[in-house]
Amino acid sequence: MAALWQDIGYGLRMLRKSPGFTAIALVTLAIGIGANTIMFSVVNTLLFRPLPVKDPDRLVRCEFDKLNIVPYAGYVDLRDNNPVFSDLIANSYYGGVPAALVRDASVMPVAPLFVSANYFSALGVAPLHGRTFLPEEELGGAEPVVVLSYRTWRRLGAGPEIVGQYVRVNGTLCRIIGVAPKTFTGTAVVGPDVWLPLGTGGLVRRYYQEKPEKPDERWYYPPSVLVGRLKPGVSISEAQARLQSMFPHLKQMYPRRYKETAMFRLHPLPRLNAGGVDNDRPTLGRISLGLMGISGVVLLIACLNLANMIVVQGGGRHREIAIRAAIGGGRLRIMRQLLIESLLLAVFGGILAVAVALWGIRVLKLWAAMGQLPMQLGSAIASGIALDVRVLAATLSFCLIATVLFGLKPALRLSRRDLCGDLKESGRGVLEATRRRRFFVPRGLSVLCQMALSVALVMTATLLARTALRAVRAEPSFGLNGKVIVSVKAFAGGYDIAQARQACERLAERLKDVPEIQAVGLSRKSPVDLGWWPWSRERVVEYVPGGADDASGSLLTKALHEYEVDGDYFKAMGIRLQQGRPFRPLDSAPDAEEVVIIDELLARRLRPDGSALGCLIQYGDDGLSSPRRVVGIVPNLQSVWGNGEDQPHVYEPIKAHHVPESIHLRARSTAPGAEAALVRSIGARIRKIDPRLPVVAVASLADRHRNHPTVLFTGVVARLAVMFGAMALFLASLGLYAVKSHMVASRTPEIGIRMALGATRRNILTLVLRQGAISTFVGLLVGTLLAIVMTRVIRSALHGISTIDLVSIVVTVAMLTATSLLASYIPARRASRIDPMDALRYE
Amino acid sequence: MIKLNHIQKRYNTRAGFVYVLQQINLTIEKGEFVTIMGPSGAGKTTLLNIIGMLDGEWEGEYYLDENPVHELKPKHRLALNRQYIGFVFQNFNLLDSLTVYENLDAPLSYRNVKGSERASIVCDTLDRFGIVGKKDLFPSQLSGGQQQLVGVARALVASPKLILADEPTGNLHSSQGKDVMDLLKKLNREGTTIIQVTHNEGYAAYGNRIIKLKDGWQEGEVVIEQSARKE
Repeated sequence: MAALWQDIGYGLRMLRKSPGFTAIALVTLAIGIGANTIMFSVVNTLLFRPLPVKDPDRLVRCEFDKLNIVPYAGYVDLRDNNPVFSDLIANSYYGGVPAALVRDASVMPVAPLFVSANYFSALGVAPLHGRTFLPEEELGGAEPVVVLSYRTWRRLGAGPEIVGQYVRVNGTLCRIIGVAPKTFTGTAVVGPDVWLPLGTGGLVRRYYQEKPEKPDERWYYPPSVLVGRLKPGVSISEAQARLQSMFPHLKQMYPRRYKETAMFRLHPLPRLNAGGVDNDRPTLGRISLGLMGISGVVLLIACLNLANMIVVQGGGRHREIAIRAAIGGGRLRIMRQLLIESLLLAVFGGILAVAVALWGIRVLKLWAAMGQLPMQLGSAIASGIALDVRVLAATLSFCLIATVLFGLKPALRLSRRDLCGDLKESGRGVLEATRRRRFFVPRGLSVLCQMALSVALVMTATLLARTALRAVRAEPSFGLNGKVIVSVKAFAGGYDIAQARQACERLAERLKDVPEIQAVGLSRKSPVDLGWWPWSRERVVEYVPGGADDASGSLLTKALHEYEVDGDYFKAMGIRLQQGRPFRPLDSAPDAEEVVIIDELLARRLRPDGSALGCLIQYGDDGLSSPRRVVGIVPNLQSVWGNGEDQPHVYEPIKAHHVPESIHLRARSTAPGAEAALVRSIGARIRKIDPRLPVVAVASLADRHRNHPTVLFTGVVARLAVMFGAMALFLASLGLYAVKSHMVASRTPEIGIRMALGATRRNILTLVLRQGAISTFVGLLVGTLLAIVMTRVIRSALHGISTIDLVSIVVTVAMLTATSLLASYIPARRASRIDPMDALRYE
Repeated sequence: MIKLNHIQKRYNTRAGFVYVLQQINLTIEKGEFVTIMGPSGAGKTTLLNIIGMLDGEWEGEYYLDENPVHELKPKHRLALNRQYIGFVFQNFNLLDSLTVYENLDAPLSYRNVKGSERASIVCDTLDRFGIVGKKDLFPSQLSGGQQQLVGVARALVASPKLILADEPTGNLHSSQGKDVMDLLKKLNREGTTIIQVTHNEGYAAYGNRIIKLKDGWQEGEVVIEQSARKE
């Protein structure tokens, strides 16, 4: 035991004796382990960590005939008669459009989820405050009630007395009956802001259609995604087979919805969003793999760095080890001492790594909470991410193994047959001998690998950063400055459809009189609206009058995005009509000819050589719409609001029974600050004009663009990649510096001799810089090739990533070369200033 | 104590075998003070390293106190080395990261001597060599003579029966060298067998026998005490 403490004491002394080496090694360990731990903690939160519900692995999503949604009666039938689920719940985001939650004077956008009454009980979740839904509350016509998420409860003041109070959700008065627990997000990582019973769907979303005199099931209940909890002992395949036998009954209930040959399938739950109908796990998996790959590369560079430094340092200890052996030290005893030194290094590095990981996670949470991530994803990370101890232990073990293995190297080569050789040479001589025998294989290769990995990572980071910049690039067809978008929810003010529409139009007219405002437009759905997914149609054809049937028109495109705007929309957005005219008020009249404005993409397909004005088009999914006449052509959108070459945009006038959701304002002045002043003041102005009309959100178009999920997400990935690229660059340069420094130190007598023989400082500088230049150059080359491969992999997972371009290559190679030169120059300069006499006396 | 029969050491080079030692036959009794002399490259240090078991690549027979070293595995040679031998190096070969006290403690620690006993032995050794005041200094803080003194002390701390000294005065000036030689002579009188390598004839005279090497061959012996010369 005393000998062990002695070895620990010696180990600490050895670490203190080389403060530079120790500091670099600790920083390397901390960055390598810490970065990986942070990254995997994020991936774990998004992808692997079990949801905080009872037995999440027994939950499955039901798919019928490639449709994921089921009408309410179908759900009830399955719920009560199925042989495989102990519980079957229904949930619906009902289009994913944010609702407006109004409490007193405050208005906030919320994402509602409509659920069956057994939702919380089936998931095994008890509320933080109050209670969850009763069976009768699920039914249409029952008193509307709401359960708040923890996040929403906090935003409303976080008081337990909130249970029993009332809020308006899209104008429908709802009683708060409960608050969900803090970490509960439902059946996905990203959860809703409020839960409402299925039967309130029609009430809350009544802006789609007025409540009929005798509302039926379709009005009250939104079609829902079904999630079942498998009975104990029932596997997915068995459940699937047994459910298939129920399908004919479902087909009988809904003959038009389901085909004869339909299949019933069960799938794992989507990970990110409960409303997601597709399995997002493969995409998430690819992205996670990419992120883990990036951090894994940093870990590898860190380990190579560490191994290199330890080997170099160990090379200078051959004499010490030979002396220890010569005075009686056995191999095991000497190895134990070296092992303890390596362990001490790894332990201290691990402690530092924990600090780095904790700090990094804290910064990430803060970042997410500040809205630097797409809102709900940011909430998931802000509230859910935690340090994953398993990953910390795994990466620490990996580094420990590397540290220990390479730390033992000097002792492993120990042989009593060769002691006198090591004793005869001084420290420098031993290192020289080692270098001559072994230089190019381990250390040159290590430098090469570090350079290659760093180049690959930095180049990928540069590419992602450039892609992100391109995504952030302003829309060329119109500027972003001087434009403000106001999201309103007329229903939240208690208006019916007609009143709501009139209120919006009246408001638009009054706003036109405001001196600071140049133009005002309205939209129900536009590319820049908050939270809207565009309607897409599967067929677009040209209508030829006199043709026999729908199929007579030529197919123009297989996908199209449809929007509803008023006549002043394009003026307010600053989009210049290339041909034709804007919408007129009469275009919205029920008996008016149906007209559309299309973009250039569709116009070119209609008439490649002429004008598409006046053409007639039809579009739809199974059936086609009535013919619509093209009255105007606008430029394509090319930024994140564009949707690619195969998805043109079509604009329709806002339908008579639809209510505008957004007001688009264009400021008269483009002076700096004018737009911000408008953003600040417009809410008060609207309240003055119409105090009943709730304003859900006000944002400049520039902010809306910056906060677009694609822009945010690409920006996040790019920032992460740049961060890791910088880490890789830093580690590689640290490692290179350490190796060069040690090389210079070990060659000091040689340098002294050279200078005594007439070498100038410049000669010495060149000698040192040239050392390892070949490894560096080959590393740059290999790294560039590796980067090209990595880019192809990333492109398959992330949309919008461009191929490697000359700028990325030049920037990366220049950065790495400069870093490598700088890392070499400092020790080289030190070498050139050596006094020959001191060098020759050097031992 | 030591018997060498047909000891031979060679290196294999592109030009063929290069012999460093050839057909060395030697017997050294307990209590002798033997000096190995010869010109540079004669194989003196090589012979010393073989005797000290620092070099394991040789041919022939080597008996140390009846133990056939040539037949022993490295582990057993180490055990024998610990039991019998203390080595004094020309360039001191102290452990730079350890203090004087720790340098003396290290050989005892490797021989699994208990802590309390080690402390007692080290203190005695420090006192014996008059370097108690330097026990907490590092080798870089000592003069050459002091370092060699510590080197000799380290070689002796485990009470070896045989001390091998390779040019112990090579890096010292004359007065320091004399002090070291006087010390070795004193140890020899106390019963320790000593084999030294030196170029200095004056220091060679401290011993009672001189073995001459040239080009790897034994060239002859001179017995000093008997004042006779054997050719």
